[in-house]
Formats: sequence, C-alpha cells, structure tokens
Amino acid sequence: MRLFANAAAILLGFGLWAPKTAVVSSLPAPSSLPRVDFIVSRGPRDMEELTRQKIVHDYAEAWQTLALGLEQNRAELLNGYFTGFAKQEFGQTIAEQGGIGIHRHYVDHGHRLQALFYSPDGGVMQLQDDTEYEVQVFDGARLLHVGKVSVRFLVLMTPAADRWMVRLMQSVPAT
Amino acid sequence: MRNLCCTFLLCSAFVAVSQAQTTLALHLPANVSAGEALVVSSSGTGSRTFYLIGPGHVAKRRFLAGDSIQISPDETAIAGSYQAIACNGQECAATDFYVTPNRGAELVFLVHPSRVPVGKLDAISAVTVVMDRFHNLALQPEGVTFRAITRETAVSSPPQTTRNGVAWTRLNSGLEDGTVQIDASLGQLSERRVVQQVSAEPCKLHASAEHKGGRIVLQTDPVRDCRGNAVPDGTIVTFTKLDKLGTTTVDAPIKKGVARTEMGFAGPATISVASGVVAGNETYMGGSR
Repeated sequence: MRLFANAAAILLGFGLWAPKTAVVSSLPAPSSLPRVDFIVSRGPRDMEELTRQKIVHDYAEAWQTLALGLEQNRAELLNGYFTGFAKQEFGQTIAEQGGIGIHRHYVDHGHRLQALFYSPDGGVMQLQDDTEYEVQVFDGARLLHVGKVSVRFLVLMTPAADRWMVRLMQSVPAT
Repeated sequence: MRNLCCTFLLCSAFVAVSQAQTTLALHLPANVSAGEALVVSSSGTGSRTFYLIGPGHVAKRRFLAGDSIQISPDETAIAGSYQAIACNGQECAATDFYVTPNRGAELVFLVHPSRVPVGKLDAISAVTVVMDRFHNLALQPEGVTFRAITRETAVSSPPQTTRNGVAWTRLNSGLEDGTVQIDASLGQLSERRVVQQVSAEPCKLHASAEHKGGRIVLQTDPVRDCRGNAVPDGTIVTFTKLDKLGTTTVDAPIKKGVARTEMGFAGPATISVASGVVAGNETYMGGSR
C-alpha cells in the first residue's frame, strides 16, 4: 500500500495525472495588459509614432478583453475593441460555449506585431501577430485540456472614434 | 524488491494512462477546408463526450466509442486552429487540426475619399480585402483588377496580386468634375464605389460691387477652377470691407455658381474677395451714396 502511495506520489510529481478539476485563477487586473512588441511597419503609408503606440495599446486591450470574454462567457466585453466579422465570430463562440458550460482560460505570453499593410488613406491596417499563449479548456470546473500554443494571426484593424478596432483575426499556419 | 515493485507500479500506471490516451484518441486530418464536412473516427468502447473547440464555434456531444462523429460543414466554416477533444469519465485526449480558408468569393472594397478635387495625383486610395464565402481572409494569391470609369474614359489596372488577402492601388483624379466609378473585380466578382470629383480651388476670383440704397451689393462672377469646372455650391467666399469704421467680413456660400451678399455703406471703402487660399480682386467704392 505504501509502495502504491509512493508510486502515485511520483506519478503526480511527474505530472502524468492531470487534475480533473481546476480553479480558474482570479481575473487579471485592468493594468495587466498582455505584452505587445511592435517590430516593423511595411507601409505603403508611413506610420506615425503615436499611431504605433495606439495600435500596441489597443491590440493588447483587444486580447485582454477577448481572453476575459472567453473565460467569463461575456460577449459584451468584445464591444470595446472588436467590430465586424471578428466581433460576430467571437461573439458567437462565446455564446455557444456559454450555452454548454465551457470556458477557456488564457495565459498570454506576449505578441510580436508586424504591420504588413497600412492603407494610403489610413483607413485599414493589416497586422501579423506571432504569439504564444497557454489555453486551458474547462467544462464547468473540469479541466479538459491544457495546450501551449505558438500561433500566427493575421489581423485587420480599422480606426474608430478614439481607438483602433479589431475587425478580423484569423490564425494561419506559421511558415 | 521494493524498488522493483515501485518500478513495476510506475510502469503499469504509465501504460494505463497511455492506453487511455490511445483509446480516447480521435482520428482526423490535420488540414480541412473551411465548410468541409468531417467524419472523425474513434476507437474503444463506452460512452464518451466529444468537444469541438474552434475560433468561431464550440460544440459538445455524447458519442459511443467506436462510432464515428459527424462534423457538419457549418462547424468548420471559420478558418483557424481547432481542437477536437474526447473524454471518458476520467481522461481526455485532444487532437489539433487546422481549417484553411477557401478561394476568394467576396470582396470588401474600401475607397477613400468620397469627394476628391480634380487633377490630383494619387488622390484616391482603393483597397480590396478578398474573403471566402465564410468571411475568412482568402490567403491564396489572387489577381484583382481595378477600373476607373468616367463619362468619357475607362482605365483598367493590370491585375494586382493579393498578399495575405489584400490588394490595393492609388488612382489620380480626372481633369473634369463629375462622378468616377471605381470597380474592383476578381473573376466574376465585382464591387463598385463612386467618387465625386469636384473642381479644384477657384481660379481668377472676381467680384463686382454696386450701390443699392444705403447698402453695397456684392456678387462674384461664376466661380470656376482653372480648368473651367464650376466650384461646388456651398463653397465659402469671403467678402471683406475696409472703411473708416474698420474691417467687416461676411462669409457667403456659393449658390448656383455665384456668391452674393450685401453690406452697409458708411463712406469710401475697399472691398476684397477670397475663397480658401485664393484671393480675388479689390474694389474701391468711393463718393456719396
């Protein structure tokens, strides 16, 4: 019996037995935006420093609200930084997972942004985001899956009255 | 002996977990096209729960191990990374797959500005975002042709190849006012926007003045740009009177091609006219009323 207990302890230590339940961590403070690094802009319109700073801030806010929305199943959180297809699709996802008791917890490890295209009139920007995060999928309190993900997103952002909004966010296979 | 037992138990437990992972495993292709139906095969026995976690869709349903799981086209409409998870009472196993976007089936066409002065280089920006029928960004390079059509002419660009689903161009405005239709086309798909070309700044602005009772009536000649296009109604013309009482300014919008206003007369005055950055003539009104 003692041997079995030892073996079980060792197995747990090696992480081979995934816990069946998990406590969702507390909500991130409003100031804990994910880290976003902006590394290059390819035009054709030159990007002002202020615009670059605003993109970095608003994209980080968008990810924070998306993560909170998927964790708390609150689609209204998308209103701040999502519009168009992105808002529609993520809103539908949140509604669907909320309806069947699923939620996701994201641990964001940061984003590396490149502006692939900034339209001549300043009306649309396409970004490439190379990001890493950990996602935990829960059914109620039961942890179904933990995955560490490195993924590339193509993102379309458009300016609104006082911020840039995510209009489309689509993951692509990293090359 | 004790070590041996421990090793044996460790191995047994590891094998049990591995077997659970193996028997829970789902078999599906790594890449699927958006809107493609899927049949996922499973193995083992017993009741299980299947979860589909995608960027635009989440589903959960019960199934019997050994049966196949049907994923409908609607469930794979949104391109991106998906996870298929199968769970029994104890364990779960996940399989990732990627849904690729299809070829372009819809154009999002952004043209700016909606009004543009005539005769300006690179004045019109035209951007097309190519999407598939599920509103995914169509990532395969495709050729988009831009076309500008006015009353007199039609000009087409060579096909612009999309990069990451985006093609764009810049167009000069024409020399005559009126509408210009900008088209973007991809195969049979076409989107159209209309830009109003308006005259440029007024040219040779000229106003005349005449006494009428105790007032001065000021009126411009028809206001045109340097190519003879009428400056649009609503454009502001500023009349300025300088007399012994000081400076008086009146802004008058152009109506039916001319700007008109009246000012009080208090003795000799110099009257000037301007619109935007263009200054017109000066008129001296002297003598008695």
